[in-house]
Amino acid sequence: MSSQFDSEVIVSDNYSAPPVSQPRLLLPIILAVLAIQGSLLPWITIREFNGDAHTYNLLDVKAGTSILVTISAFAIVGAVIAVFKRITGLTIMSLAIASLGWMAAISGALLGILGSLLPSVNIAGLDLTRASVGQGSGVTITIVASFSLAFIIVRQLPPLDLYSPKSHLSLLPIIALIPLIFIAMNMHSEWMTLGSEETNYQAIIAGDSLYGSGLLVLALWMNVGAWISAVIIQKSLVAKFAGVISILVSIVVAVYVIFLWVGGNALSWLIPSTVDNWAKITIEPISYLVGFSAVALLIIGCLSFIPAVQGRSLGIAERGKLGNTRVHTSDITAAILGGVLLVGVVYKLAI
Amino acid sequence: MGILTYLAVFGMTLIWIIGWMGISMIVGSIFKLPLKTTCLIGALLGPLGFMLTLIAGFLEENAEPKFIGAAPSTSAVVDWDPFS
Repeated sequence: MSSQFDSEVIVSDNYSAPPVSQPRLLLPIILAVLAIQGSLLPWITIREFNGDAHTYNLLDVKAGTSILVTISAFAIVGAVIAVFKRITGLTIMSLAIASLGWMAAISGALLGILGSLLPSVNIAGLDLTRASVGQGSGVTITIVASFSLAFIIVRQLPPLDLYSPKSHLSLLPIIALIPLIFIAMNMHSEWMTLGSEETNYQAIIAGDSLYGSGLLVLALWMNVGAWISAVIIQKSLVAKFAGVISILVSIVVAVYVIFLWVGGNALSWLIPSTVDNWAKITIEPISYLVGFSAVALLIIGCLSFIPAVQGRSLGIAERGKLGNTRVHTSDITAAILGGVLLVGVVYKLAI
Repeated sequence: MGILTYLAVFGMTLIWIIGWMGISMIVGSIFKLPLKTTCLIGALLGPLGFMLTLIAGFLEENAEPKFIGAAPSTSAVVDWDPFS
């Protein structure tokens, strides 16, 4: 997402024109493929009380295939145009992929509205109806890939190009994004299980079934956006803004985990042993990992106010020659992403 | 039924994109940011683009002037001959 992704086109005439910087093509194409692949992964998960889960993606929607084909066609047209007119083509491709990203985001919002319409089944303050519908991993992949592609375009535009250095990236926002995206993804994972697989009754409590979790998920994604902005706009004001949101969000997430842990343990202590496995309460390992991530995010948020830490950067200069060819960091990133994508597809086909 | 779903999904997404593009354009015009930039930021990044427009606007407001042009302090001379 920065100048390591750029190819330098030197204009060699008598006039001293500055080198024109353009994004390389491979990484945007891989990101577009990743976003489309994300739409084939689960967007919505519906969990039954017997422990079964059903997943749905874009293709399960009526006319879903037509929607995906239309978006893919626009993305391919954009990629072809980008060969001749780089920024124009990438903008068309990015707009097509952004529409897919927004479909994923809107589906999540609609899911929240739909969940609120269902009659609630409260057990120990947990709404089991809301626990029965959740977002799938495909939404996160599609949104992150479409955002990354959009930022490659946006950072080329004036005046943002003035604040986006060509030789390095800030280290703190990149580190902050790791626990943040982990928390955002696992808000839809299983934090606690009521009952057991041996019995027919099992309720899975995800992070997004807790009170006020809708707003929290919104704040988490806003924070992801703020930290990505801090990668692009390398100014302390942006890092501090993202840091403040991180501190607030991490405190709320940590309180969620603590309440769930205390509440779950208290409940299992209070339940008489005669109900046996039906009321067995298991706190899943993912809730502990979310708790640790929240603490890490809190520390990173506090570090954003220290100028010495803000100044740390990651060099992204173009790599040296590999044989007879120059290898750009963007191409290496694209190759890694492409490899992961390929492994995922092969694994899916093998199952 | 399929065509209606197709139109509804694309229509909803289009309204979302155009809506945020408009909001970013309005905010960008307050800060005198380039129209092309604010349009694309709003369309591609939605609410995040709105936030980015605000940040870019504040940064541009506080930025030092890029070109300092000094006007000549001499008074204008009428009918001067440039070839003399």
